[in-house]
This record gives sequence, structure tokens and C-alpha cells, in this order.
Amino acid sequence: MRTNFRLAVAAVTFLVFTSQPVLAQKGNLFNQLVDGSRAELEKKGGKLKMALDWPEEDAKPVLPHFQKAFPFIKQIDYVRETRSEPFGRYLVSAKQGVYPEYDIMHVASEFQAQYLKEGLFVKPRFDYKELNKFLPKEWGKIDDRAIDPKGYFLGTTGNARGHAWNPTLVPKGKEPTTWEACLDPMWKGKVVYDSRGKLESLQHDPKTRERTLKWLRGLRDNNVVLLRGQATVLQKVASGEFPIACAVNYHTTFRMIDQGVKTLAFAFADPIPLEIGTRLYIPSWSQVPATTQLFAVWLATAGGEFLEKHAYRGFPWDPKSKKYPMAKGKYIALCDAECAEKWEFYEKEHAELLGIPAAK
Amino acid sequence: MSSGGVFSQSAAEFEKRGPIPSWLVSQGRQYLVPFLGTAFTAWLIVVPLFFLIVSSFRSGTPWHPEAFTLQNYINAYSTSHTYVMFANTAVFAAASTLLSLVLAVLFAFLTERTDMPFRNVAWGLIIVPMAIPGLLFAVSWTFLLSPHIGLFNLWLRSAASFFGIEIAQGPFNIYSLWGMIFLDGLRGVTTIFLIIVGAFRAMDPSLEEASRAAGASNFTTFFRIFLPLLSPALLAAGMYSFMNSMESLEIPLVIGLPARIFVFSSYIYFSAQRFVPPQYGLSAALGASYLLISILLVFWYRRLIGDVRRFATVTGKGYRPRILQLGKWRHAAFALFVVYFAVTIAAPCFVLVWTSLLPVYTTPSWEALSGLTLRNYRAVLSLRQIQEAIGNTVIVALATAAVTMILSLIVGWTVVRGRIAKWRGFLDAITFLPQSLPGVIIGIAFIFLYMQPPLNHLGLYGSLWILVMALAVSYVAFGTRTMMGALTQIHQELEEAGEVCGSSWSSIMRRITLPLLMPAFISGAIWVASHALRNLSIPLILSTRGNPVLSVIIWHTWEDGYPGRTAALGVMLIGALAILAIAGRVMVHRLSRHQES
Repeated sequence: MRTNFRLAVAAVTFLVFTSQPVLAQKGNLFNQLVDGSRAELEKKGGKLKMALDWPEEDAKPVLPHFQKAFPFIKQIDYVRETRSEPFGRYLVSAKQGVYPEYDIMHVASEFQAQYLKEGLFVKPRFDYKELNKFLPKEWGKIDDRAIDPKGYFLGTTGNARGHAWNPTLVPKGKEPTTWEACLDPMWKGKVVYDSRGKLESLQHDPKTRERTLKWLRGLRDNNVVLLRGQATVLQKVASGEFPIACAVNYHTTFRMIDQGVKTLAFAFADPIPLEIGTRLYIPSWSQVPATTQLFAVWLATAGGEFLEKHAYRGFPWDPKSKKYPMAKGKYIALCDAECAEKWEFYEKEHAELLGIPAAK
Repeated sequence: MSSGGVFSQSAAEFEKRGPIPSWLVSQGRQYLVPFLGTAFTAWLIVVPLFFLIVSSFRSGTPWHPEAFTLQNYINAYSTSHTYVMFANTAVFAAASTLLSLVLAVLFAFLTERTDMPFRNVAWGLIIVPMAIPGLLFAVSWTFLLSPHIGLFNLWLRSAASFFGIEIAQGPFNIYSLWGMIFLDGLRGVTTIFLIIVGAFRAMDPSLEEASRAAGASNFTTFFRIFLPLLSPALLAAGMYSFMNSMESLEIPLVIGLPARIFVFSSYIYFSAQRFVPPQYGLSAALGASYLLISILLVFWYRRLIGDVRRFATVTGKGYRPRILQLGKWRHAAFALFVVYFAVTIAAPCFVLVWTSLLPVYTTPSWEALSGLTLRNYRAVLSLRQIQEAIGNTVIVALATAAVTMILSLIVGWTVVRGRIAKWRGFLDAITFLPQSLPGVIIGIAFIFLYMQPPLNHLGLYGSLWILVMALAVSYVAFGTRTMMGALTQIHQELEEAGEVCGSSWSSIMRRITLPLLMPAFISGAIWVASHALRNLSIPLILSTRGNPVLSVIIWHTWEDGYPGRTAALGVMLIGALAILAIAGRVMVHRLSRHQES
């Protein structure tokens, strides 16, 4: 009896001690995240190095608002890291023990699976779904669709695609407002398309899949001109070299239009492919995991306002977003976690349908 | 004997015999320097290529090689893309070589064997296109021959419209295999011209005179006497140009990719950098296949060069070649050079400057003049990465020039003067091999070597040194040929005189051979530096955020959709290359004059 009592006391004591972190975890997770971030920044003298795929003109107006919300972040050095190739080189460098110098960085979607496989991403300290419960009221909530079900990343931007055209070259009534418009024989050899397609959402969604595969075949038959990079494609249309660009980013097009380019127009076709972009992972070498999470959460909630205003990257279902009126009533195909897992397959399929070599 | 072993014994012998004789030290150096040079050259060239071949038979990644397999070759040869790429490469290289040859022969003939006016000016005009890097040349032509907004196409359409013919687009489309051939053909003219022009100048005219005496016309003499006599030189030059076209990357990247036209170099680049995930094994298998082809090409080329002696027509008779009177065609012939200059230099430079001054490209017009701005120049100069890239580019260019030329000097000396016959052929062959290898293959071979454990711990990937080494491999063929040529011209009796006077080997090298070689060494170094400055294919594979160089930044700026900034960077790079060329010319001239005095 005495032995049983002792065992019970020991068990209770053990449970009390081991459950301390769990109880702490169950405190205000958001406050803990902020404290963690503050501690990290203190060690770094308040300086952060950040690399996202946004151009400087998108990033520079947004980041000061993050600093304003968290004044212990005194300085952010921002670098644009675009395309997919640099992330292949970072991967090679990481395998010889040399890691990117950035504290917070995005990784091109093409390489996310490989980075995970190579153990270069780690799970964040706080689960995003749990964290969602503790966010300040005025921040709003993280959209569930942006949270990785496996818990590694948080998607922060809505990259929606439509078609752009040069109004001086496209006659009235012939504007490419539908997907089929890109296949019109009158545009044979005159449609330009970013070979980094990012139409995975349309390829994945059962409602849009067959139609998309047919469209890609049609695009090839219409002698589409393949270029690399959204801005490249849009520059070609704005300069009058090509009349139409199909499946281009809303945010790249409207940035150019707002900068005074008068030879560009844009429309969403139905359905709208949406990539949940700027997925922020915690790199294994990160010295600022809490700050990375804090930035991701801020961007996906409170920062969304500035993101939409300066970088045009809000979600199209958000009535406050500029793209909402254009997207209203149209079907939005989303590349969810299951779709993201099949990214390599869709990439290969996309390349093969367009007649460009692809990985085996 | 003391227990001190071999060292004590040596010390005792040393005491007994006295110091090592100076002749032994000198002899030792004579063998040590070539040995070290050979070893380093082998390490630089042979070892990476060996690893490339081995890796082509392995699965996994460069940093984690796995089991031996044939899967990479199965992947490479089980897709129709590979065979289409082979066909594209063959057509591209053969047709552009043919175009270069025809133009180069015509220009060499006109400058050397006719009474065309301003022949010296024409000579200069042929050389100038070398100043424009291939990437910028290709970029500029997208503005000149784009089917919709290309300047030349617009002019042609206006001209056609004047005659009542309406053309909706074109008539030319640069985004085609023919567009690639046209550009590569134009770029190859200078190299072939420089190779064959000497043969035109030195040809024995007695055979032509015999032909004419037999009643043959100029036309018949040209085709039945002139060309057959030149055929070995033309074949060798054509072969060299063919290898250059095979390895060219810039034009296939800028012009070929939008039209889905892949050649060997762009296909390998694509598989290593753009496939998701990157297919290093596939690129190694393709690289190894290419290596086999290039070994055959090099072997054939060397045989051709070896046979050239049979066709020697320069004799000791002291003839001056007969100058052909062009009559009324004199000025038309010179006009041909002006057109060539306009097409290869003036138009590309004009369109680059124009584009660099515009926020968004618009075709040249009076209205567009009001929108000219220096914004692109300010933008590129304010970017930290570009400032860093400029510094890196200068370091890489200078270090590559130094490493390549020192190595070439040692290899050249070993081949021309070396006393170990076995090394000569080996060194000569391996230093020429990289001439036919695309930079992407050299880059990938370096990744396979320096990412293998334990070499990955050196941390060379992403450093400037890996760029310097890979570029040195790429240019060692040129460097060794330059130094071998210069060494052959210096008679051995000068060095023998030094030996007779009791000078050591190192003293002879320092006081006789090297000063005489200096002009060739410096002009070679300038050539290497100017090519390293603009090389794209190797940095494209090996450059990272840690070692950015200007050529890669220009390519990325172009790919990111900033034609104005690309053009601004291009204009600055061409300016730097022009300054380097002029400075080099002045330096070599002064050195030669100093030596003469």
C-alpha cells in the first residue's frame, strides 16, 4: 500500500514537471512568439536579412510596417531572389555546409519538396493552427487554406493569374478574356507564355484538369512563344513585340500598369488559377525561427492590407482586395497541400504538353 | 652507420661530397617545373572530366552519389528530345560554320588579293565585332529581327508597303533555327578570317599565273587553283569554327529557348538548372556523350593540322602575290565591309544604347526621343549586387589571365623544349581538349568533382576560385597555343648560349626566355582576361550569390524582364572591353618597342 502511494506521488510529481512546457505552450502562444523573436533580434543587433521573390518596389513599402509593428526590428536588408535556378545553387552550397546569408527567405516552389527531402526545412516551434487562436483581434485570422497541413509552412500571398494584352494591337472584342481566346488561330505564333507555368492548381483540380490539359496542347499547336519570367513576358507585350500574354500574374501586370505603362490591359479568365505563394518555411540553419514565423503570421493577417496595397498580392476572395471585383463570380482553383506534393509531376506534365524537355 | 637512418646518412654523405652541385639543382628544376605544371594541368582538366564520366554511371546527386547504373543514359536516349537536339546541333553548327567560312573567305580575298579601297580600314572592321559579347549580340538582335517590332523588319515592311505589299509580321523571325545560324555565322567570321588570312597573303602566285597563262578566267582560277590550295587551311578553320559553334551557349539561350530549339549546350544547361528537380545525372550522361564527340573532333582537327604541311605553297622564291584589279567593283567591295560593320557592330550597339535609355522599349522614333532617360544606368549602378559583381568580375578576369598564362607558359615550354618526350603529346592533347568543350560541361564536371566528399569540405563551390579554375581550363587551349607559337619562334641557340656561359636553367628562363616571351604572354593574358570578363556559360553553372559576376547578372537581368537595365549593363561592359583592348594594344606595342630598342 505504502509502495503504491509512493508510486502515485512519484507519478503525479513526474506529470506535474513534464507538463510544465505543455502548460506554458498553452499560454498565449503569440506573446511567446513575440518574446522569442525579440530575444533573437537582440542577439543580432536588431538587424534582419531577408530575401523574397518580390521586386524591391513591392517589398520596400511593406517591410517598414512590419518594423513599425515590432520596433525591436531596427533594420531589414532586403534582396530579391527570383527564378528557380538560384535555389538549386543554394541547395548545392548547403550540401557543402555553406548556407544562404538570409535570416528569412522564400524558396522557389520547384525546390520546396527537395529542400524538405534534404532536411533543409524544419518544423516551426508553434503550430500555425494553434497560433491562430492567439492572434491579436485586430489582425484577423489566418486563412486555413494557407496553412500547410503537415505544419511546415505558411502561405502568405495570393498569386492569381489571368491574361494580359496590348490594347494597341488587340482589336476591340478580341481581348483574351477567356482561356480559349489564347488558342484563337488569329494569334498563332503571337501568344507569349512564361514557361514556368504555375498552373498546377488547374492541373490538379478535377473540375479544371481535363480542360487545362487540352488548353496546354492547344497552346503548343498555336505555336506559343515560350519565355522565362513574368516581367519578361509582360515587357514583350508592353513593347508591342507580342499582342497577348496568357496566364500571367495579376500583381506583375498591375505593378507595370501603375508605373505608367499604358500598353497593357488585364483580365481574369474563368477559372482563376491561384497559387498560395511566398510560402515561408523555417530553414534548418535559421538563427531567427521565431521571427520568421512572426513575419509569416503578420504577412498572412495584419500585413495583408499593405501587401495588397503595395504588392497586389492579396487573396482574390478577400472583398478588400483590388482584384476582388474582377474575380467575383469566377471559380478559383487552388493548389492545396495535396497538389503541392504532386508539384514535380505537374511540372513534368506541363513541360511535356508544351513540348519542352522535362525531368524523368 | 648511425641509427639516424637515411637522413643521417644523407647528412654524412653531404659532408663528404660537399653541397649539391648546381647542375643537379638546375636539372632538377628543369624536370620539377614541367612535372608540377603537368600534374596541375592534369588535375584541372583530366580529373573533373573523369569524375563527370564516372558520375554519368551513378544515380544520386553530386554530393551524395549512389549506386552504379545505366539509368542516366537510358533517360537521355529514351526521349525524342535528345535526337531532335542532336539534329539541331548538327544543323546549327554546320550551317553557321559554312556561313562564317563563306564570308571570311570573301573578306580575306578582298583585303589581301584585290585592289579594294581602304583595305586597312576593312581589316580593322573585321576584328571589331569581337568586342561585343555573344549574349549582348544575341539580345540586341532580338530588337532588330523580332518578327513584330524588329527594327529591320519594320523597315522592310515599310519598304514593302511603299510598293503596295502589306506584310503583317516579319518577314524575318530571329526566334528560329535560321535566326540562330545567322547570328552564330556572323560571330564566327572574325575567328575564321584571322586563321585563314595569313594563308591568302603567303600563297605562291606562280600556280595562279600558270592557270592564267593556260587561258583560265579569274573565276576558274579562283575555284580550280585558289580554293583547292587553301582547302586544308579552310578545313582546319572550319573545324575550329564548328567546335566553337557546338559549344556556343549565348545564342541558343536567348534565341533558341523561346522557340523551343535546343542544342547540346542549352539542353545540358536546361537539365542541370531548369529541370525540377535538377537532373545532374542526365546532364553528366549528355556531357560524357559530348566529351566522346569532342575527343573525335579534336583528334580529327589535329590530324588535319598535321597534314597541312603537305599543302605548303610558301616557298623561298620571294614572290609577291598578284593583286587582282576589281575595276568598277572596287567600291562595291568596300561597301560590303560597311554593311558587315553595320550589321555586326553599328546596329547592335545602336539598339543597345537606345534600349538602355528607355524605361520600356519602344521602336526608335522622334516621339520616343522625349522619353529618353538615364534611369536604367542609375538603377544598375545603385544595386549592391552589381557593385559586388563588377569587383568580382575584375578579380576573376585578372586571376584567370594570370593562372592560364602561367600554366600555358609551363605547358608550352614542356611541349616545345621539354626533354621528356612522353609528356609532350599527352600535354598537347589534353590542353587542346577543352577547346571543344562547352563551358556548361566544364562547370558541371567541376560540380561533380568539388561536391564529392571529401572535396566538398574545401567549400570551393560558390567561391571565386572555382570560377577561376574552370575558366582557366576553358582558355588553356588558347594560352598554350600562344605560348607554343612564341617559344617556337625563339631559337634554342639563345638558351644554349646561356648554358655555355654557365647560367642555371632558372637564370636562363628569367633573363633570356621570359623577357622574349613577354609580349606574347601579355597579349595572351589580355585575350584571356577579355574573354573571362564576358564568359557566361561557366559562371552560369558555378556562380552563386557568393560569387556573382557581371555576365550572369546581365543574363539574369534580361531574364527578369529588364531589357533597359540589361542594355545599360551591356553598354558599360562593351565600354570596359574596348578600354581593355586599347590599353592592352598600347602595352604590347610599348613592350615590343622596348625590346627592339
